[in-house]
Amino acid sequence: MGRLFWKFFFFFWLAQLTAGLGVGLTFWLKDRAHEGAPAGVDLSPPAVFDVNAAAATLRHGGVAALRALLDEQRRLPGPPVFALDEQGRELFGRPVAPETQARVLRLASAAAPAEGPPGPVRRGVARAVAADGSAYVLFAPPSAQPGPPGAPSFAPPGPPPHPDDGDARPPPRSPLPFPPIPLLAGALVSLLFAALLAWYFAKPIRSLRAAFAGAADGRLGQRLALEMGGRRDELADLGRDFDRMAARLKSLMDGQRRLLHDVSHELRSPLARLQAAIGLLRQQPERGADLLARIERESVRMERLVSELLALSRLEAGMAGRLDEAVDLRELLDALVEDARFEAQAAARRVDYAAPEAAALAIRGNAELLHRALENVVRNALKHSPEGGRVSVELAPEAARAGYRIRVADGGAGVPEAELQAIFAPFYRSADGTAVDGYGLGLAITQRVVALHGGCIEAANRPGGGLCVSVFLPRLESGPASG
Amino acid sequence: METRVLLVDDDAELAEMLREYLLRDGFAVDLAHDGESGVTAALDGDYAIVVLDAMLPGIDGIEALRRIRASSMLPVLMLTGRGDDADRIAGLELGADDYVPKPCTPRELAARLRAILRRTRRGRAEDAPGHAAAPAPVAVGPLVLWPAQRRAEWDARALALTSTEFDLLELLARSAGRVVSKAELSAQGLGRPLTRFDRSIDVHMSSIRQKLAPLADGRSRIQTVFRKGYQYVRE
Repeated sequence: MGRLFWKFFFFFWLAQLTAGLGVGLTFWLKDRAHEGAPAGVDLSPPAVFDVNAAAATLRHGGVAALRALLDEQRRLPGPPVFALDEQGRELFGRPVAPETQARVLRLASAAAPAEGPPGPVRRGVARAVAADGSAYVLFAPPSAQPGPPGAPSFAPPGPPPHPDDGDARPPPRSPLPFPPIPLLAGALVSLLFAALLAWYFAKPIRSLRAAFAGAADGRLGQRLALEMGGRRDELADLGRDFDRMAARLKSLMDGQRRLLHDVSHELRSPLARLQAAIGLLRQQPERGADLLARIERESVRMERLVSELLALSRLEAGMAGRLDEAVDLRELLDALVEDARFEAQAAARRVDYAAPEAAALAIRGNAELLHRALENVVRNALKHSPEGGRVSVELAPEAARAGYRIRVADGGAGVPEAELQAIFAPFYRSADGTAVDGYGLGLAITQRVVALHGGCIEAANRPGGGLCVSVFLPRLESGPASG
Repeated sequence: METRVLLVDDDAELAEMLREYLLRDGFAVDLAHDGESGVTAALDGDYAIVVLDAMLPGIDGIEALRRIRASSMLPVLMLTGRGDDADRIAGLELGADDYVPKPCTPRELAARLRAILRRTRRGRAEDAPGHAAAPAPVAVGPLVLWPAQRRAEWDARALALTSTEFDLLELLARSAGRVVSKAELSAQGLGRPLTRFDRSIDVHMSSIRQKLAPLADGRSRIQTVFRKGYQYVRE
């Protein structure tokens, strides 16, 4: 259990206990106010009514009438009314506990002053004076039911009133404001719920924390969505966001690792050949010229690989240099195709070129990068063309998207449909193309340059066979994409 | 008689250069450029040793080694190009006799080839008729080694050991009850001086341990003596 659990737990429990105690206190206060009423006096409306009736009878009919009324009343069900004279004697001699008597008398004198018109009886105790001057205090003791009506329902039932004791005393009350058993039960229940609530909040946070710790240690394979289950709230969203982040990081890291692995392998191959050539040269010095040419070739290969890698990493790091030169695509492609034709001729291949006759097809960007990017595409097409085959280069404005499209198509074997995206990844090699020279970095560089200029590149197999790489570059007005 | 070597490497240019070098050094080299044909050639041809690149198109070098070891104890030298030790350890565990990190000089490769071949040949030479007094077999408990025939038995059952494993076990068995240092094991067993951080001996030892039944108390018969070397425990 983490600290968060205990915080949640403690505060929720505290809140529940406070709320419980507050409610309890309110009831207790109300109850105590009720208890201010005299003990031993029935306050129920029928009792009050009877007391009032008895008082009126006494006032107007005298003691005899009161005696008759009470005598008759005693035989009826309902609260009996007691009458105490000045000396504290009951009219029928029914016993009244001394403390009840004292309280009743005190209340009677407080409630109804001796002089003046008799007010309404509010407290179930009335003092009435008959025409002959005899004064009585009238009240109804509670009937023999257990507990006064105002007592809290959870109070333990008091002992039944003594049968001989006409004064039904109220049950003895606990001296504490809260009875201990309900209090304990309430505390336990709130403890349980506080723990449940705290667990409900703390658990996903703990698994999140574990996932983060795992990610920090390099374990990015874990997924929180399973642990969150069907939960639908911000915490579950957080878990799903973590999953997405981890998946993205993992794919990036895997990519980097693969790149590093490929780079080391690609660098080792020419190195191994260099060492073999040097060893051979030591063993057979007479073959110097041939082996030195080999050594030179390998070192050039390594240099090319390193410079391509550097270009790629610069592009990926966003260190591309200026991107705001005005570049004439037509001029750039004209020169590029001329060079390509020269190389193609030597390799018995042809390059077809089609471009609009319009003046300048200007875009904004970096001419050197664009030249390199498009050259890579054309070289790649030439490399994959069969002997005697032709490569077509086509430049056309694209009206719909305010830019230009360059299509480079070859007559080679094409690429499996599933790998059409993969050819832009570094060190991609077609499965059969082992004989093709190069490192598979050219198209990766092209893709990044094109993206840097706000364009896009895609590859598709031509219906007649061969690959068509299509590059879109936005026009000057739209400017280079930021970032 | 020329020593026939099979070189399996997908880099055709490199393989050709190594072939030329080894040819001058007295080896007859055949080339294979992928795992499948390499395994076929190794199992069919009468080669003294196979040089196997760990990274090959199709089935890789490790898998090729597994297939060769499934039916042959032919000496195998691995070329491990990767920077990590995974291939190296995997190769040795699968029964490669030794490895050479790639890139390597052809001289180093030739030296390693000779070291392995010298060990395997020693047995045959001693076995040859006319050789004075073929050495007596080495017997320690249930283990019996016939160095002349490069044959090993455990509880009268044949024990399949690679040539490197046989040499290392022989060294330990001859000094059973005594610690043999890793430097000595490397120099006499692998035919090359011990280099720092080289775990080859440990990997070979672990392979040998798996082939020998443990002691009655469950301990391995070959004990590692920390900072000193290994010891074959005499019962």
